[in-house]
Amino acid sequence: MSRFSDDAAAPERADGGLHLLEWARRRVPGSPAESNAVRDLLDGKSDAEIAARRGLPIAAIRGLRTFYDDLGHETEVCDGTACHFAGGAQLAERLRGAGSVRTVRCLGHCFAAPSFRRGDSVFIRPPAQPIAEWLNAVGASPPRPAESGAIPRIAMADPPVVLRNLIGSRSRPPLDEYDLPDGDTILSALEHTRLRGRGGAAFPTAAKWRAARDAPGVERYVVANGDEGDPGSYVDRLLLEEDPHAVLAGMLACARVIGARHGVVYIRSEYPRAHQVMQAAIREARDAALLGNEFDVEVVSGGGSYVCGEETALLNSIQGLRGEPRARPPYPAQRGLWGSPTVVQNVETLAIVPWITRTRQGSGTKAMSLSGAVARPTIVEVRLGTPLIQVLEEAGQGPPTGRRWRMALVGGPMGRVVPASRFDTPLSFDSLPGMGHAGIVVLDDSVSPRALAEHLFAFAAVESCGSCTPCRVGTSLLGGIRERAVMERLLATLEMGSLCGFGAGVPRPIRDLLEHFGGEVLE
Amino acid sequence: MITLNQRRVEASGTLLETCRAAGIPIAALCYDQRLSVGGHCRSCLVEADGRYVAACSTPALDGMSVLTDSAELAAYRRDLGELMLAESAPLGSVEAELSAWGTTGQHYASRRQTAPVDTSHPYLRIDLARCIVCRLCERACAEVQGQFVYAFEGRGAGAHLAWGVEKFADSDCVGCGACVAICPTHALSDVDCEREPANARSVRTTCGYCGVGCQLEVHVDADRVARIEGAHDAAVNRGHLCVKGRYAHAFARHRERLTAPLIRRNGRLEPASWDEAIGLVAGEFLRLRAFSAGLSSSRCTNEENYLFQKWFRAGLGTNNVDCCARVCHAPSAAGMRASFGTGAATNSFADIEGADLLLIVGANVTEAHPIVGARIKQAALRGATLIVIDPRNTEIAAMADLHLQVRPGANVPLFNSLACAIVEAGLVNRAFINDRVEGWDTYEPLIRRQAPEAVAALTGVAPAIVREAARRYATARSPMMFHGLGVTEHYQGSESVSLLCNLAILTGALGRAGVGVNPLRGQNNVQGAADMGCDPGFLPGYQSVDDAVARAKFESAWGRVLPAHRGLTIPEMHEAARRGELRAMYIFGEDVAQTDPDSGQTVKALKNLEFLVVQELFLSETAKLAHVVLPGASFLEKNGTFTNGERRIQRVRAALTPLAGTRPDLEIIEALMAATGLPQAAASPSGVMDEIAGLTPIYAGVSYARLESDGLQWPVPSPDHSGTPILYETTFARGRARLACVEFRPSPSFGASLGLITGRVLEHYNAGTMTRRSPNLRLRPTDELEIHPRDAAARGIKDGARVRLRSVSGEAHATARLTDRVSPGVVFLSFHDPATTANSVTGDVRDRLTDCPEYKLTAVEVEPSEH
Repeated sequence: MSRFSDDAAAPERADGGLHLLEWARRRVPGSPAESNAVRDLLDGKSDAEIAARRGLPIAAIRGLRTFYDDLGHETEVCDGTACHFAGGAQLAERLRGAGSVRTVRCLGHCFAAPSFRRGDSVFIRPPAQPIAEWLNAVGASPPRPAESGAIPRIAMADPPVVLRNLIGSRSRPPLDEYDLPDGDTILSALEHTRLRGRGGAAFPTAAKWRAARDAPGVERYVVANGDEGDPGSYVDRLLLEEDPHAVLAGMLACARVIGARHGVVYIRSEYPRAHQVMQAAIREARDAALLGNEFDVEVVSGGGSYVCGEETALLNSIQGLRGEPRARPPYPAQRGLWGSPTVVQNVETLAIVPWITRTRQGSGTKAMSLSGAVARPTIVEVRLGTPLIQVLEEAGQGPPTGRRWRMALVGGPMGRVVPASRFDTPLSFDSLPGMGHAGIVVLDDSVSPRALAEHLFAFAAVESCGSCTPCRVGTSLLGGIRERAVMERLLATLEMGSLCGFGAGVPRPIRDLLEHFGGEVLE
Repeated sequence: MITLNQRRVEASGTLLETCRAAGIPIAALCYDQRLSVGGHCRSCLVEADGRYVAACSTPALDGMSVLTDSAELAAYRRDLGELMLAESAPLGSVEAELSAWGTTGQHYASRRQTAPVDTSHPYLRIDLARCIVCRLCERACAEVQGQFVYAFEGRGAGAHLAWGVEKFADSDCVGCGACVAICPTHALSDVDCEREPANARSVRTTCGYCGVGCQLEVHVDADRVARIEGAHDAAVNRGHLCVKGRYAHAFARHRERLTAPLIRRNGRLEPASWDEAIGLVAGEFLRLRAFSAGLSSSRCTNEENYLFQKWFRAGLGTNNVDCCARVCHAPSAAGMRASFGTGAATNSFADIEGADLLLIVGANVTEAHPIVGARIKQAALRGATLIVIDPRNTEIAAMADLHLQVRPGANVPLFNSLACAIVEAGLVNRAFINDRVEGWDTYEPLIRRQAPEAVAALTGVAPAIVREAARRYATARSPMMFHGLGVTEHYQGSESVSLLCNLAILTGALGRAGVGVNPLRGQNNVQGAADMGCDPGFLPGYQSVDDAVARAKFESAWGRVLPAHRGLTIPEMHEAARRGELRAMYIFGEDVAQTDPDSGQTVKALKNLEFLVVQELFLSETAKLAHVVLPGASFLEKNGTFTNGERRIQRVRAALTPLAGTRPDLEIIEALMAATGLPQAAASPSGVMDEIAGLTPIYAGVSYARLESDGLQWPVPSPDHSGTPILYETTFARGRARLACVEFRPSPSFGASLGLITGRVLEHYNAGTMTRRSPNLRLRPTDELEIHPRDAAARGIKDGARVRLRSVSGEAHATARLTDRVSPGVVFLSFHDPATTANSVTGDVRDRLTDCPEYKLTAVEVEPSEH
């Protein structure tokens, strides 16, 4: 089913260059986003088959295949921060005997680490079972682990906004979320409440939408960024899987403001259930004539690449290209998907929008994922500015019995390291800049600063897309550096020169580690 | 205005462009102004309003405050350079730049990968140990050539340049060398020239392959070509070249070059002195002047062509002078002259980028005119509609939005049906018809009978596709048409050209930028040879030999009475020779024994001559039959001008000294003129051009001084006229354009169960005289017969097997290539290898109006062969 007109899909890259992969899309029926070559790879087609079908040189397909991780592996073992320090490596070793195993960061089951995925099922360690015992069970063939259960969630903020439909009994029918005013009213509500994006950059949402509305272009697009790749974060998964209409309604609100007819929900391939739920929700909304007339949405799958969460990389991925970030400017609001003005918005932000347009109140809250060394790992919605320690004590119910906190990683591998001595730090975009989406992984004193640093170095080296020199080369060198001056210089080079927020963000937690733990980090 | 290092400067484009305009050097290793911005290397970092940004991708906005150098930036660059050196060992400009940043290569632990150097390709050498992953090659391949050979594989530290297969020679590379030209590290280099020789000098000249007329920078070291680059400021090619222009230059110093005149004695060609040879030729041609004819060379300069026809007309008193336009685009000249009044391209290559629709008819542009082909591909990739009419599924046809895969020989009904569809859809530009066209009232009722449905059985093209193509052509803002020999080399070639002109006339797609009817000329100077009067009916500048006023002008300038009746065309010369009526022939730089149709008959004609002179670089198939062979010079060794397919007159400059024993062709002709009593007063190439300008209105304003930069497009009516990129902006040369009414008269070969098309391939140029004496031979060792698997199966022919082709004229042998590039019922054969004898099978069917042979349709049978 084609939901994109031909002229909407002008074969032009935002940077003015062109790409045969996009041009060749015209040969294959279906909407451009549904029918690109990345989709062919995900469908398991061979390089030669795709090249022939699209009239493309084989090099183009090889370039794609070697970029995306999530193609044709039977088992994915999570090596996200929570799983990594909960025995993820041993788990991977254990499973390696039973077919091809890929390490993934992360499966969004941090509350039940470690975890692994086969097909559409994710398996976790039953909470009560000791790790060694569980690993033995896993090693058996076929594996007999427990399939993952519901995502725990609580609210410290009252009333909850992000989790408004997910805690207690739902107060309104899900399709009521689509009950939205006109575009100007929506925009003024966002401006009035000063909503900032919840994906990490905290950019004022209204300004972005206004820019996309005012940019010249025939078509406009709304893209929901559901590529929640940060280890330690699973808020977006919760929203995609359990409150999809809030996300879709947020997209409709954006479409109304900017004048878009088409939207894409980009969901990482590691979240198979989110795909199914979102597809069903779209069908339901179409049946109710809430989508499909003025605005319609389709789902596009990621292929296994952390960097695709970066908005321009995500657009390239939707277009069927290697998910490498584009040089900015132009920003997506000027030239985004297929060169047209595009709003790329994190799903949590979108999910808040219908509530804001209804209440004209600022939410002032943030849903955070809490995992690692806490007695109760959970998603918790807190008022921004709440001290970290309060979240750890109230929501997390303190450390597990007999463990002592050493530090917390807040906001994933590009986030902040807060040592236990600073747990009184308030959680807000201003007092903890770089906290991003504020996924919190608490680490106890069994984890040395060096161990965390090595985890972060490995993550950076594996997930760097390789497009720019500082990040491609720099991230691969971090782990071998022993001198602080050399490290500081390289971190500065990454911050100053990297093409996108990935390379520029890699130094952030390393700098915290150096500041709080000194030379120990390099030993 | 922005503040740039405390200076106020005008903001223009990006910060990088602004800095460079202000004379502030900024290293930007992965940037090239012709390509999209990559942003990969991060070397052009500057501080703008307190933030570090890449200058290449950041727009310069009024009020910005920018610092390009500071202690922080210098330290950053040094560290960035160390990162590059940790990864690779670049040479070239990057090596120099990194060393200027103060890098040591010792700062970080090396993580250089060792990959074997790839030398599998005859021209390109790849050493990834030098690669800094700037990805200029990838972008050049995509955005200049449109070939997409390269892709980056892997990610993170493992991201590396790749080409999809193990050996580069097995990749999709077409050898254009755009990647080599742009590589700043020598990771990609010419296989025989990794570094520019220290003392090389550069000579700018015009390429001698094909009618596009690319500008070359020939780097010469010790009187040999070290390397050839495209001239970046040239309007035609803007720095780009193809595998022939950039690489196939080895022929110029090939050991088989003729280095002394040869005279046949006792049946054998033996070396002789120039004096003896010139004396013999002059004497014989004076003796046989009434029975002589000359065939001029479209590979040679305007000045040489001009003197050649002058010698025949004024020196020998005959209009029996022709050139190879006869066997390629004479029908374009005739058809367009009938429609518009002038027989040359109406527009310029530069219009390709402005067109929103490109209609390519009977032209394999990406192989035969690669630089124009690349520009057309880029236009299509950028979204221009592409419609291709071709019996073969060529590269460009495979890219097309609409491919009208016409049956060979059915151009007339197809073109008429396109016109009919335009008329029936009400898409005729009535204002244009009223103001600038004649013949509508007669034309309209006739064309309405040519509906796509009515002719589909003849053309083999589905009516719906014809109607869609007509609709798109007629409704495009700027529909630009190119056509090739698939239109002209047919029984109704000239009339077919007129029918293409009809499409442009009906829609008013003439006289402005981005439109028009544009024949793609085959030989590098076939336009010029025709311009210079190497035609039995025309004096220079298309002034008819039966125009007494024009003739009088030339008679007065040349001091001789000129013949008033039209001379013989090439096919007529061959016929006259076979009958014994033509007794002496002078063939200048053309291998008719290999390239003219029905070679058996051609050779018979040549053998029947009393005296045959061939002026050549090599002992060609034709030269082997000669009584005297005169060794000429290659385009790399002489001065003059070529005129390309968009009427652009460009300078040819000697890069090499003529090989010992040879002479520049101009001097040979001048020696013959002197020896036959017609000494040429203005002997230098520029002097000859001045003489041409004085006698040829369309060249009147041309002089060498004015051609220095980018040449001039004729007509150039006066020295202060800047040339004419677009013809007929206000009026047609004949006043009003004429709508041609043409009925289909099938060729005798039409309807054959197997129809042969002959044509070129990318790697070789016509008879292969030059390209076969270069490493291009490794890329394409021999001619192949393309045959549809169904036709092959019916005849028991396997892929790669030897086959025999037979026609009423003769037989040829080739290797079969089973492919669906051709439809069932159609076979295709290139004619570059003399051993193939492709033209032994082509026949004597010719264009009804111009005698151009029907190379594009011969009834043949194909069978397995042991040969």
